[in-house]
Amino acid sequence: MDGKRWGHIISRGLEYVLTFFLILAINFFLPRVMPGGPLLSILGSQSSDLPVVIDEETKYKLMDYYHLNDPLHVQFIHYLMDAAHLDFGYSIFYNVPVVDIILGRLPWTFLLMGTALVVSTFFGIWLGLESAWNRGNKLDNLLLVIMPTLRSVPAFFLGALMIFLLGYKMGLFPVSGAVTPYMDYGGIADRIKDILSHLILPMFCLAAFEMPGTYLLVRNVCVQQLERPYVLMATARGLKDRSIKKHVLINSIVPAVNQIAAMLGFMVAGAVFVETVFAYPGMGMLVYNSFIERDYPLLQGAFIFMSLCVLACNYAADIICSYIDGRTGQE
Amino acid sequence: MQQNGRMISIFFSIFIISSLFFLPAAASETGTDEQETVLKASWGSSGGDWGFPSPLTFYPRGPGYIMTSYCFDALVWPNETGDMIGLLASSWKSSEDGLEWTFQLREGVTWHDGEPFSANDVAFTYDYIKGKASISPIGSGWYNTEIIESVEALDDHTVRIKLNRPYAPFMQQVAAVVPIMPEHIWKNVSDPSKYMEKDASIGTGPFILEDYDKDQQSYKYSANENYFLGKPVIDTLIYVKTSDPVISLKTGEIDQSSLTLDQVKALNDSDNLKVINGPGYWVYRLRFNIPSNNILNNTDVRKAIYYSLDCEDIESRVLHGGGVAGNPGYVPPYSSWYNPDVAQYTYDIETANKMLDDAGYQNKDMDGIRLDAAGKKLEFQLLYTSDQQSQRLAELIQSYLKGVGIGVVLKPGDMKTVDGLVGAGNFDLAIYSHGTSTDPARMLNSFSTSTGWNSTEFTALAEEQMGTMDENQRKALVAQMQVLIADNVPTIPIMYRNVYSACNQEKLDGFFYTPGGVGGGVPTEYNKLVFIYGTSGGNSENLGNSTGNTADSMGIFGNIAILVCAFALKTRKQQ
Repeated sequence: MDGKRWGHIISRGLEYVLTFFLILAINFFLPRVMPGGPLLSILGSQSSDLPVVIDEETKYKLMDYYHLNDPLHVQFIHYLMDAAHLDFGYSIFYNVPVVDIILGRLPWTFLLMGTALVVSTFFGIWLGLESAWNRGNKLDNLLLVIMPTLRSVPAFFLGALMIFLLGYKMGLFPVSGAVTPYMDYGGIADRIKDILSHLILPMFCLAAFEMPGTYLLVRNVCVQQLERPYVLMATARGLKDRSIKKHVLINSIVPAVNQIAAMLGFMVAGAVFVETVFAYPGMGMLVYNSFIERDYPLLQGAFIFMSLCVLACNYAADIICSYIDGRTGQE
Repeated sequence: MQQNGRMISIFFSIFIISSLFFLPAAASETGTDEQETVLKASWGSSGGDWGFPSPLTFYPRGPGYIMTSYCFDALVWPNETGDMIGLLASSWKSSEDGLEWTFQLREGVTWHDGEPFSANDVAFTYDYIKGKASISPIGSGWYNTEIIESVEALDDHTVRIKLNRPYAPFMQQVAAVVPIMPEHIWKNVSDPSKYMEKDASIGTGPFILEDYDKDQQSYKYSANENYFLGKPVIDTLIYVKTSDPVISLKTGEIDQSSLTLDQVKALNDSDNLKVINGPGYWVYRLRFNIPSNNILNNTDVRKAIYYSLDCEDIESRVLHGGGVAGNPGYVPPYSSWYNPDVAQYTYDIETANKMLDDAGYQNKDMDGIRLDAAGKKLEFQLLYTSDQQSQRLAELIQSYLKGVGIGVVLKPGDMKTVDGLVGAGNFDLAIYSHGTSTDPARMLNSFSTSTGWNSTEFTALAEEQMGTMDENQRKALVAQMQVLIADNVPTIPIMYRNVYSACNQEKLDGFFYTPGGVGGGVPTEYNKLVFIYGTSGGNSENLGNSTGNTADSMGIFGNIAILVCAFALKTRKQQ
């Protein structure tokens, strides 16, 4: 049994390695087949009159400097070698190592997405369980209206609304950025307060968007569980509601856990809309901007980080599931 | 389990209560020193990160150069009227043929690190930038060092620049643009585009860079107390990224910002903000595929298209009055090079129809779209970038052209896709919007490449005006170029957008738009002279406001806490 499980884990691992290689390849070739080249962003748009028109020789030298004149397969091999050393080169637009830029943004992304995920999961599960328990009641009906509505309001609209009401009209929170630039912090506590106050609006905005998914999932599974005979049995035996809820929740939490594992992976990708609305320095905006500028090295670096994260989370989920539920390990 | 559940609720309550104490202080602003004047500015919605502010590392866009110009000075600089005043140079003269320029340099100037500035630094800078052009995109794109033959320091405070050909806009486009860099720092730097150490921002400018934060997209400069024109009127200059400049201005998060007209309209008078506007030198134009589209390379068809567009109406519907309608001669009317006596194409459907009929497209299909001799529809694809203004503009052009029987298929894309397709010649019509330089040497000399229109007569005029040192003679040549453009309609300039900005006048008053722009033609209110000659109203930090915030946020958090507790209690009771 145990040997079988290990075999399963290893074979899954190999599958993930293959997937990762394919991602690397796609990642490399995709930007190169799109119209528009990186030199356009360096020299400015050709429609613009502002930059001095540079001659072909300088252009060629520039292309050479960035190794853009090499044949594609040579570029690809270089790329794989460097990727193995975590060297994704210099960003064409920002002119600093790609890894530095990404590492600068990751903490903010993790902070924003992570807290939003925790909050949305907590409330999603709690409200889902309560709603299922009280199915058909006022509370349930109310939540069933509110949740899909929240989900269907675009996140950027909700964000803009929050900025206007809470940020501007009431003046409760700062409206953009992740910190107040160049504030004199009295101490570490001040710093944390500042970061938190910047975090709250975008975090709740994201959480409001993510929560309905978890809520609906948990509610549906719980409703099914509550119909089971063991619940009737437990009630008949006079168990307290709390205990019954506990059993129901444990039996129905597996899909929610899976969903959270999947969301964890995507966390690295950031949330373009929310980050843009709140000018939050996360990965989503970084990727979006480097796409606009056709900054190949940065785009590729960011995608690699994201795919690594998604794959790792899926792999971890696979392993955990094979331990929780013996059936997944055996085929 | 019961224990667990209780633990969770206790934990949660603690979280809520602690946030009560936590948050209020966060809303309050920094208690800066009483005497300190801090100006917080923002580039508006256009972005916040413009690269490390050193001559060869900023992003090659106007704002990037401006951020650099705070730390580095050029030899000369345009003032409020657009005339050149000396920064590092105190006087200058040129030889008759315009090939030799001698600059007398200001004495007693020091770099931010205290080292003395001398003519050697000037000679070094020009050589260095010219030498690094091939590995530094900014060097080759922003500073026109190609025309420089040699630069020589005659003595400690005299420098002579020789050009390889006469270049009329030398002062505006080179001497007022190239930032002088300290030799003692840069002589050992081999790759300046990657050199971003602390001393890479040491210049002679009015501000000293304190910090540049790529992740938060913010800059902090402090005043250079020893600046040779006098100490700046503000002590600290901060640039931040903001998601919505209007709200940030109203809440006082920032004091100054560049805006669009729509944003200006959203400000009300009570906000104590002074709004200024200026020429934007930003054109929206319709580009034709002249080389490879055999319908559009017919000048009469292009003229007919021009007649069928009501540029005034388009301007008012797209920019809502925040711009001026296009001029067939391409040079915007507010430019000192503008020639009003060119062919005009005022909106006239009948002329347009007649010209199209004469060109051989008199038959129409059932939808009213014209057909060519072979019975093919007269229909074009219109490429445009999918921003709000271009989108609106594209729709208007579509409906105007439909009026004269020309079909238009809209094809939006992002900027690089549009550029790529146009570069490959794979389009019919395209909407382009971009900055046009303020000097004809830049504005019109690349005109052939940016329109696909080749006229030997035009190119010859362009070459000639660039080497003509006499201003009036040069103006006549530029006027002639505009006549040629208007006669041939190689592109249709639909409108020019104005620029707007607002500033809290208590913080700093005196912003202006420099005629002709700064740094070779960047139309911006951030001419660094404003920080020297502007007036700063004072240092009253608005403390009352932030205490108000504190009380408010206390309230709301209390409310949330009570609500949550009530909810928790209620659900428990039901059991």
